[in-house]
Order: sequence, then C-alpha cells, then structure tokens
Amino acid sequence: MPAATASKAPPAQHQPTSRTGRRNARARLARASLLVPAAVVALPLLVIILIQGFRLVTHAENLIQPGSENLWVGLGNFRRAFTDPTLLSSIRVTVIYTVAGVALEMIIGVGIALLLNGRIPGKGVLRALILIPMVLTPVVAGLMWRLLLDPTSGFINYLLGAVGLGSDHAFLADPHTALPAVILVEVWQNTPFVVIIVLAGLESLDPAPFEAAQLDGASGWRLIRHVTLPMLAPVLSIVVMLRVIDSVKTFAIINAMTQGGPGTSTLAISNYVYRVGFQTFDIGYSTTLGFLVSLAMLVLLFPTATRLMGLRIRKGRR
Amino acid sequence: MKRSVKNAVVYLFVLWCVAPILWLISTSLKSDVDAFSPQYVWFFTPDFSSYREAWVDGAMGSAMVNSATVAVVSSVLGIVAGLPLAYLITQVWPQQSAGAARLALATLLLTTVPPVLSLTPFYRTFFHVGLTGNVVGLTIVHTFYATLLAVLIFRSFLVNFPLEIREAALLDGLGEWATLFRTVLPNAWGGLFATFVLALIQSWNEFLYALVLTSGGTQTAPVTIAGFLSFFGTNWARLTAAGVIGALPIVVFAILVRKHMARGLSFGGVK
Repeated sequence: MPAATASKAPPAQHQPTSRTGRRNARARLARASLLVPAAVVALPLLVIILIQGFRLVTHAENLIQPGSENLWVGLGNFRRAFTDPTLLSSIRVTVIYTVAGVALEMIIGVGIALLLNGRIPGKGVLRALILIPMVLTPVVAGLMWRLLLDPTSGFINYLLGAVGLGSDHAFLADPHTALPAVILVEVWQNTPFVVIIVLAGLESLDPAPFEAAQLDGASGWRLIRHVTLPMLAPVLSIVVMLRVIDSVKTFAIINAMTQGGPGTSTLAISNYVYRVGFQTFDIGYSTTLGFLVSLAMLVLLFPTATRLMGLRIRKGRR
Repeated sequence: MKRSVKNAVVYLFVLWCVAPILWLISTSLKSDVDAFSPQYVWFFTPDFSSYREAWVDGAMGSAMVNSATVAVVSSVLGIVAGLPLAYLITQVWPQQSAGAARLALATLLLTTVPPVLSLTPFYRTFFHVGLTGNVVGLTIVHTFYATLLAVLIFRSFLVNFPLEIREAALLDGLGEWATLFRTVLPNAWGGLFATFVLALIQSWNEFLYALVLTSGGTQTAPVTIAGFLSFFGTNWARLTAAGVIGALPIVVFAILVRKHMARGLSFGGVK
C-alpha cells in the first residue's frame, strides 16, 4: 500500500518505537475503514454475480422445469449462443440503435448547443424545458410515443392526414418503420443530455482563442470548425462515450413500445435477454447471453473509458 | 445565419421536446371517448376523473410510495457508502497510486456493464432468501448503483480539492472520519447534492430490475405504468393519467434542482 508509506511520520527519537508503531497501525486501520461502507454494499452483490453467474452459465436451468437447475451443460450454453440467429439479429438491432441514435443525438445536440450559446430571449426557461425529455421516465416516454404513433387514434397520423400524407400508418407494426420509430424516441429523449453537457462545455471554454481568431478574420462556420470544435473535443468524446454506454443498455423504451416486435425487428440485446430469462424462463441461457454482452462491452470500452476519465494505471506498479 | 433564424431553430427544437408532453397531459384530462378519438379533439372541458381512477383503481398511489421509498433510501445509502471511498481514492491515497486508480477504474467499469448480466444471478439468490416480491431486494440493487454513481461524482468533486486541508486537520488530531465530515464534506456540498439528485432520478426511472424483483403491491411506478398497457390498453385517458402521475414528481424535482445536475451528469468530465 503506497499510501501508508507516503504519510508515515518519521519516528521521533524520544518516543518508544512501539508507540509509534501502534499509532501507525491505528492510522492504517482508520484509512482502511473508509473502504468498509462501499464494500458492505458491493461485495455481497459481486460475490452473488460470480457464484450464481458461474452456476447459471454452466447449467441449463429453466425456472418452469423442475430439476433442470442440476443439469450441467459445461460450455453448452456458449455453443448455443454462437449458433443462435436471434442473438445475431439482436446484436444487429442494438448496433443500429446505438450508432444511428448516438450519431443523431450528437449532430442535433451539438448544433442546438452552439445556437443556444449566445443571447436568446428566454434562455433560462428554454434550458429548463429541454430538460424534460431527459428526465422523463423511459417507460412513460415509450408509452407516450406508442400512443402518438397509433394507426387509428395517434396524433402523428392525425397530423400526417391533415397535410395529405395518409392517416393510418401502423409505424410500430411494420418491420420497416418499427426500428426507426424506437430510434426516434431514443433521440427525442436523449438529445437534451448532449445539449446540456455541450452547452456547459462551451460556457467553460477560454475566450482568448476566439478573440484571436476573430481578429484574424475568422467568423461563423470557420470559427466553429477550426476553433470551437477542436477545443470541445474532450467534452464531445466523453458525451459520446456516456451515450454509447447508456444506449447499449436500452430496455425500457423498446419494452414499452414494441416489446421487440414485430418479429425480432426491434429486439435489442437487453430485451432479448429479458425475453429468454423471464418469458421462456430459460435463465441459464439468458445469463450466458448477459455474460457475453458484458464481456463485449468491457473489451470495447475499457481503453476508451480509462483514457477519457483521466485514469491511468501505471505500468510499472502492476 | 441571421440571429432570428438561429432563434427560430432553437424554439422549434424546444417545441419538439415539449409538444409530446403537452399532448400527454391534454389527453389525460379528456374523457375516454375524446382521448381515443381518431379526430384530434382540440377543445374539451378538463376532467380529472382519470387521475382518480389511475391513483385508486390502478394502484398508482401505492406504486408512488414504493418508488419514493426505494429511491430515497437507496440514494442516501449510496452516498453514505460512496463518499468515504471517493475520499479515500482522492485525498488519502495519492491519486496516481495503483490502489486509487484501480478502484476508480473498477467503479467506472461496473457502471458500463449492462444490467442483464446480474439480473438472473440476483433474481435467483433474492428469490431463495425472500427478497423478491418486496422492495428490499430492489433497494439493495439500487443502492449498489447509487454507490457507483456517488463514487464517480464525489471523485470528480474531490479530485482537485487541496490536500493541505486534510493534512492540517490530521495534524490537529482529527481522525480520517472526522476530517472527512468536518473539513472535506462542507466543501463538497455541490457533489453531495448532485449525487442525491442523479441517484434519485436513476432509481425512480429504473425499469428492468424493478420489473423482475417486485410484484403486485410492491411494484414501482414504471412497472405499474407498463402493466397499464395490457390492462387498460384502449383507455387512453387513464393510461396517460398514470404516465403523468408517475413522471411528474421526478420531472418537477429535476427542473427545480437543474443547476446541480449538469456537472454530475458527466462525472466531472465537464466543469
């Protein structure tokens, strides 16, 4: 423990060493005790994940088949996963959902933040209002848009009918429009997050480079392209990372809007794992799927996450 | 671009954010027939009966109590568990030490793991020890996530806090815990508030664990609302009233305390 040596006082000459030693031991104990509350919360759950996770992954346990909890299958669940077409399609849905969703959120969000970052009447109220989608309960957002997109009584079809574009589109029942529709809700709900963080980033930028660039005659788009965006890069990468992490976990919006249907056209990975685990009760296999997804996320995000959060484990200390 | 065009774009965006909510509220105030009408009904007399039905018949009342209990308890416990750890890895241990960096990294990585990994292990264990079908198991899980959030947010608030203040307090004979509560915490109220706000929102809106770990009268608001879809599928007035009830407290709360949110939202990535 490097910290213990760092703050250790040099032993005073006139004190018996045993007393200093005891005091150091007490200080070390006090420092270690700071870990206890978090450990009490986290360790039992981490142990459960490890022990139960291993058990579930290696057994073909099904909640409605008595005795199946003792059915050892070894790597059978993994073999099943690698030949599972629904897993492949749910990975595809999640990737499209995340890439399209986060890209749109970034483009719209950064654009709006740049426009909001100036004098505009009612700025305070506007900033409060755009917060609403972001903190709205995702289940309620999904439910609301499901009703808005309803083929017979939905407001969207009413609007489309009013401008002569037809008034009975069953957006969520059509495999071609269902995924764009849930992505629309993802974008509606989370673009404000991008706006708020980017706006905070813009407001904390040093004004000096802008003044210099303006003196040099840069303005408008060129100023944004060559000064603002490069200076914002660290903020933008953190926002992208947080949005990707969150969007890969998506469950509530899709569950409320389509439950993964029609067919598997909007079945994202979390919705698939939930379906396997708690609708067909195949919890051994469902845990295996959860494990594979988590592993993929860690491998993909580990390098980016550590760098962006300014965390570096020094090689020499390993 | 002209200033007026820019402003118009911003106003359009805000309208796009708010219009669906206005539709939700207006539909909840209509009669069943008007709410479900294919022709949008623009003018109507507000009718609050759907709210009473959702609250009483639809059990939104008890769901709100469950949600509030889980959210408040898990947020407070998360702060209690997360603050000392954040203090340890920013103030006590040098930030670049292997121990501090590893704990910070572990916390960050645990937040990136999708909940579907732990869903079945938790369910299986909690079921065997009687922690499903009540709010206790759910509170434990939400406390775990609140703790992760607290560590990350407090870390971002304490990482630039001068180390001399702690050293002076220790020289004055204060212990680590007394130093934390008497000298560091009073300078980190912003972090405390940001953590509380975000943990509360996170818990209130959480759906997947709540769906699996609670049932019947112990369901939280999002689970009860999702259940409405199958029970009152075409009763749009009641459905939207339940949605408004379930979302309103947390939306109002977030708007009131929004100044404390922005920095916590990015775990200190944006000052």
